[in-house]
Amino acid sequence: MIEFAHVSCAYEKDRPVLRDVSFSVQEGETVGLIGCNGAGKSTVMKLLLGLLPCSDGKITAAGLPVDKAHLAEIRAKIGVVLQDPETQMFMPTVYEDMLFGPMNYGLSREEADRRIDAALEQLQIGHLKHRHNHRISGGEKRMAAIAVILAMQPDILLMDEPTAALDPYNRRKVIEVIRNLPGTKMITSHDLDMICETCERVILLCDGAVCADGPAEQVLRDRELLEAHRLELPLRYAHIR
Amino acid sequence: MNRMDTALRELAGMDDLAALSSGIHDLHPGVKLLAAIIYIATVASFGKYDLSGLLPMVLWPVLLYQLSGIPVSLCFRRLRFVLPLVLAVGIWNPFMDRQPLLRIGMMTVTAGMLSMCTLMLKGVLCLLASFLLMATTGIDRLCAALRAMHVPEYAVTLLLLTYRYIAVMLREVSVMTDAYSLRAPGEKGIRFRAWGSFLGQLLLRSMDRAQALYDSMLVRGYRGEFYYAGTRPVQGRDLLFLALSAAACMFFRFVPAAQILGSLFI
Ligand SMILES: Nc1ncnc2c1ncn2[C@@H]1O[C@H](COP(=O)(O)OP(=O)(O)OP(=O)(O)O)[C@@H](O)[C@H]1O
Ligand SMILES: [Mg+2]
Repeated sequence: MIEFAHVSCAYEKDRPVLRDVSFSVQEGETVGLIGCNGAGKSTVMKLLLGLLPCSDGKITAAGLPVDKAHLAEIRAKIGVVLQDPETQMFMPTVYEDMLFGPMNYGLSREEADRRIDAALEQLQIGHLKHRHNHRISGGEKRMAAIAVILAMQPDILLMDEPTAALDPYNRRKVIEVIRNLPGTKMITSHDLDMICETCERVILLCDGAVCADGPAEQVLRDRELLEAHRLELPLRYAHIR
Repeated sequence: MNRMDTALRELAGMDDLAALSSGIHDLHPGVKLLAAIIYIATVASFGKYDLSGLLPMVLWPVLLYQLSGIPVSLCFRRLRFVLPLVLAVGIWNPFMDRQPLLRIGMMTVTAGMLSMCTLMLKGVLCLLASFLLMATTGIDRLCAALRAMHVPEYAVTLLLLTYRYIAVMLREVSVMTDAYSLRAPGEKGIRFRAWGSFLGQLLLRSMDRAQALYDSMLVRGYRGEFYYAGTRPVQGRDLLFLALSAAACMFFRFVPAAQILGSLFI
């Protein structure tokens, strides 16, 4: 479903951000992408969406190579919750923002409305529907940003730090939604407990390279590995010596 | 709360206004746009001394403001920053064109004074009309209308992004001035020495933000069409409005209403 084959990329010349990254994600799999600040997690997501050119290697998403010719088709299948909800929401109100994607993909107004209400219901944020995007709080905005993408019902869901800035109740809601959602999912986070609960597999990025890739149970229990890469054991495994 | 915040809230207020409902709001956006263009063109076509002919043109927008439930005063309050610019346009005329036209008591009215007033009024009328169009239509419906009228996609996208870019830039200014003042207590405004880096940062940041916003439109399927704005076909009432609007413009343009009215009393 998603494949990176020896991918390298750089924002500025001579400062590679990803170096020879290879991994693949099967259909229906939920994968956690972890790593310290600046490891290159968000960059992986940008590459998948074709928002950033890669200098080397080959990226495949939804069975199609990520290049100019296939971008529209690929983007129609991928929903992405960006790290910064500020840059994700651009319409005046939450409702209009939620309408944007579905209408662009040719759904009828009724169908779009149905999906929007379902997404708001799932996250229990119906009260935000007609609020102005810049008059809601940071956490509310994050919830709205997730709802925006849920309403698109994508085949592949990418989420960059979906639980950052959320209160425990909302965090729990988001975890439940991720767990119940069908499809292929890729989630980056520093909230390793959330990754534990949602992902069956974990990829650890460090300094732009993959340095561990395996079952979540295994990677997230490895105290030495995590601490070597500026991470900590999730709370649920904290008792492990 | 700084001044940019106020400006931002006012910009968002435009969307609030556009979300109201009235007979004028419900009209087809394309028809409203056309009516506004006709009105502005008519206003522009008045001669530069034809103040008395221009005056009755005030009636049409004022009537529409009444019908749409948007107070005229709001337009002036929102546009208080632009207004001085509009008024400044004709400010030199009285000095250039001193030919006396008539005397009122002790004062001599010169041709320059008359043309200054005419120009100012023209500016105000155009502002009134454009504000009403924006306030009753909203940027997205307006863009959708432009697309439906076969205005090229890039031009419409440019308009839309410029409008959104203003909001992005205002927000960046607001965030940056707040951050600055938090670490420079007791300073009023921004120290002159910091202006260069401040402006440079502002430009970079707002460009980044605008790019990110455009990206996020792209990944959600934006390709220059405005499906989400909910266009509907032109109906009878839209055409009626257009006809009425054009007729009003033509009437005031070619029938010297003010003079006829005046001669009734003299
Ligand atoms: N627009 C940019 N221009 C130049 N360099 C960038 C840009 N965005 C990110 N980088 C650099 O690329 C590297 C990887 O960034 P990325 O955003 O992918 O990190 P991340 O793993 O998502 O980190 P975080 O956990 O902080 O979100 C960082 O070293 C960062 O400095
Ligand atoms: Mg990141």
